[in-house]
Amino acid sequence: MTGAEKHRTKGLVRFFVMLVSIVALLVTYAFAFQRTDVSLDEVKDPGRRASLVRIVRGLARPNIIEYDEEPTFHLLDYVTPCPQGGFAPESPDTSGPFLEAIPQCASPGSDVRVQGHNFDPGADGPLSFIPPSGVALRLASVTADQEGNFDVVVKLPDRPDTAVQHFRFTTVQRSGVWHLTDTAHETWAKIVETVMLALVATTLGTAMAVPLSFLSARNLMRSIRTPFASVALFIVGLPIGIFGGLQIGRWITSVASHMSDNIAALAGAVVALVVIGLWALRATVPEVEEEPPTTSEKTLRRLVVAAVAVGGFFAIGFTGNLLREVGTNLNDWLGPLGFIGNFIRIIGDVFATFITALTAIVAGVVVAAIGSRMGHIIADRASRPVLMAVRYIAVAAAAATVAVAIGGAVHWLYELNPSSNAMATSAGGGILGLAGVVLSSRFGRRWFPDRLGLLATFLRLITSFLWIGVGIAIGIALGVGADAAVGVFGASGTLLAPAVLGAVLGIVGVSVSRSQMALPSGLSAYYLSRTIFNVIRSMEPLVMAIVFVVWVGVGPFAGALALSLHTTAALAKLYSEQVESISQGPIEAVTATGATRLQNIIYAVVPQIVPPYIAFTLYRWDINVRMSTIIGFAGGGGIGFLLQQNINLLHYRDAAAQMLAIAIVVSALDFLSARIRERIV
Amino acid sequence: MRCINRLIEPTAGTITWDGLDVTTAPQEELRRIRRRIGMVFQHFNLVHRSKVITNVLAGRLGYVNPALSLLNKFPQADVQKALDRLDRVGLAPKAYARADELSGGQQQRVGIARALMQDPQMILADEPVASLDPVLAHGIMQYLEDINKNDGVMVICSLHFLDLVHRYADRVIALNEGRVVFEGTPAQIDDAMFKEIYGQDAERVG
Repeated sequence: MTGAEKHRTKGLVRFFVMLVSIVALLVTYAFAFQRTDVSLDEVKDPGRRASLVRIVRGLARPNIIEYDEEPTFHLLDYVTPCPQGGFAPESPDTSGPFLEAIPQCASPGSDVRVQGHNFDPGADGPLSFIPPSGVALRLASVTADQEGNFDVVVKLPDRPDTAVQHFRFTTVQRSGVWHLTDTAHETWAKIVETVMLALVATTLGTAMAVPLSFLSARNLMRSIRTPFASVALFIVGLPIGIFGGLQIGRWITSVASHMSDNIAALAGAVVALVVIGLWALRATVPEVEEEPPTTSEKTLRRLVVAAVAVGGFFAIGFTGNLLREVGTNLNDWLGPLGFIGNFIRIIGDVFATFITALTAIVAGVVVAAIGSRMGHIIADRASRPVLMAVRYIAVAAAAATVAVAIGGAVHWLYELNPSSNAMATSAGGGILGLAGVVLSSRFGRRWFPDRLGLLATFLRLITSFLWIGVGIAIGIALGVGADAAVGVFGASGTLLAPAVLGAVLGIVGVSVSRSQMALPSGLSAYYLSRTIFNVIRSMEPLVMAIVFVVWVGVGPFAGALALSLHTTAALAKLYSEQVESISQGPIEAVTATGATRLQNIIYAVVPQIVPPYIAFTLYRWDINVRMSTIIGFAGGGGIGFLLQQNINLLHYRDAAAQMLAIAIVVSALDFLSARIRERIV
Repeated sequence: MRCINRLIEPTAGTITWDGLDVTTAPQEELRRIRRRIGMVFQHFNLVHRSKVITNVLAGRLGYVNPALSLLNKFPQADVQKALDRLDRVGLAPKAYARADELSGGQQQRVGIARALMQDPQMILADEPVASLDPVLAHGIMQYLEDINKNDGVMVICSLHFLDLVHRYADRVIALNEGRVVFEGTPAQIDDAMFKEIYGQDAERVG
């Protein structure tokens, strides 16, 4: 084939590919049109057009301002049925506006022609019939012509009476100056609520996302590897710490509740605790440390730090109660500014309510960290048999703990009866089998080297299936055992099976791992947090709001919680990507000075990420304001509820007022955040 | 170079310094070792958005109480020391400027001040002048020489240019593909030696 021929064939192929692409594109769009019901018939329909015009005109006149209006009544005497000798009303004052009826009297139900003269051109209003009872019966809506006259035929209502009755034409004049409508007031209140909702959500979300973002930053987490024993002791330490923390938290709450209404005592206790704590820290922990501390110094320090930490929790608990009391009092004193007192009270309430959870979490993490540290020390220094023993015991305990936690969660969520427990355990066995598959694929290469070719692949496959079989068999055996255990131990037996399963899994894990093996704990935390963020992020706040509305009731609080959850996940992701893109040099330099990981974050990471963090936070506030305008659709408070209501009631002018407010707030905020960003970044 | 203070984990071999096995030191001990080894980098590795003095004070992080340092509080003595070190490298007036307002040469001097804050027994200088022009390069090398001669701090410095080696080095180790190909005094490196180190086709530039 010559070059030219080649070129021509290539051109042909390209032409053909192009043709197929165009046809494929056409088919795709045809399908898309069909699925989205694109139809011009609806658009052309006059009825639909009329509705559109009505909506657009309504939206074009947002119901924001109005004038006071004063009605003027124009009366015409009338009698029905006609009395003997007929009836003639007093001759009207023809210099001003007046009404006339033809005939001057008639029997009920007959048609009467009512005329008006000398009105303002275009004056409009209702024409009513007023029987002696005084309840107006509306007959028609009339408008005066260019000359100020109108002429209308109405049907007399069936109200025969000998007394004189009246026709009444009511015109309305604007009086006084313009003022805001009720809708405008309502909209203002709700738009303030909306902005504040967004503010609270952004603040909460940012506060949670900042620490979490470091967890999900690959560059920080990648290098963290932890020995097996250390991870195991961490896992075992966590529940122990949480249990201890719960006890301390309950203790704090009970002590604080005894002195809850005594502000002086609470304040004194807080000050005393803070002063003593700081003094104790100053006295035992040196500012600069030239020499490694001796063991007794270390022990003393740890005891002091632990005591100060407990004291600190007491201080937080007392502060919570103190703020609650102070806030309640301020609420009474401040009058219109009482919401400030209320704010302080709520903050105090948050402190006092979450102190138990806080102590539990902190104590859990601290004990777990101590466990992890011990694991490190053992892995570094202990002799081989000791290390081996610790690994087997700790890992078995840790795996049992995890399995019990999972088993407990499954039990709580799905409320399994004991015999389903057998199912659950065999499922657990299946997981064990899958773990076996992973292991055999990891070690299979060693057992069946590549030079065996196809046979090796086959053998590996067989071992994988064998592992699954073994796993399921163990699971079933455990399930049967679990049923027996439930019989013997009662309800606590439901967790026995997972515990045994976990322990077995742990021992298997230890025996196949090398003694110096370090787990990529940093990366695990990274992937775990990333996954959680992605799941949370994928749920729209609108959907979350529905869940929170069920929990905390309809209102802005539910919306704020839903938005903060979404904000946390979204910001943590954005933030962590910023952390990943920072320059590694300063981190290296600070590490080289002998700094700890935490110091490294504060000195080398944080300064680099402040500008993007601020930019993202502002951007997120912007998003949250927009989100909070619709979160009311799901009952999450803010202006959305009002908007949805007005649209459903076909009050387009009111809805227009709310849409206008949203547009103003969003653009104002956009402008503001752009300016702040310029300033800081 | 980075293996010496285990910024990079060595794949094989051991590093012994001052009677301590650096390669197997656990975290706590490693930090104690690291804080006695100052390090100067090719790209200076300052935190650009922080003040110069904060960058210098970061050199004390291995010594100070971690909890207080997280609040950005350093002992008064350390702040004074940081100002003294900056004065030594001629940057005292710039102490409260942002690090990225400084020129390259100035940034490297801040890097040296940071290393000095560690009261180091050894300074690792990883191509400290590779991103600087020749005049600045000599300035930086003279600071390192001064620290070496007057403070008695060992300086291990990796360099590309042989004229800098001839001018400042007391002892030279040449590596090629991870193996020591030469060890001796700078005077021993003549053109023949050069070809042996860099390969037959190499030409000298400086």
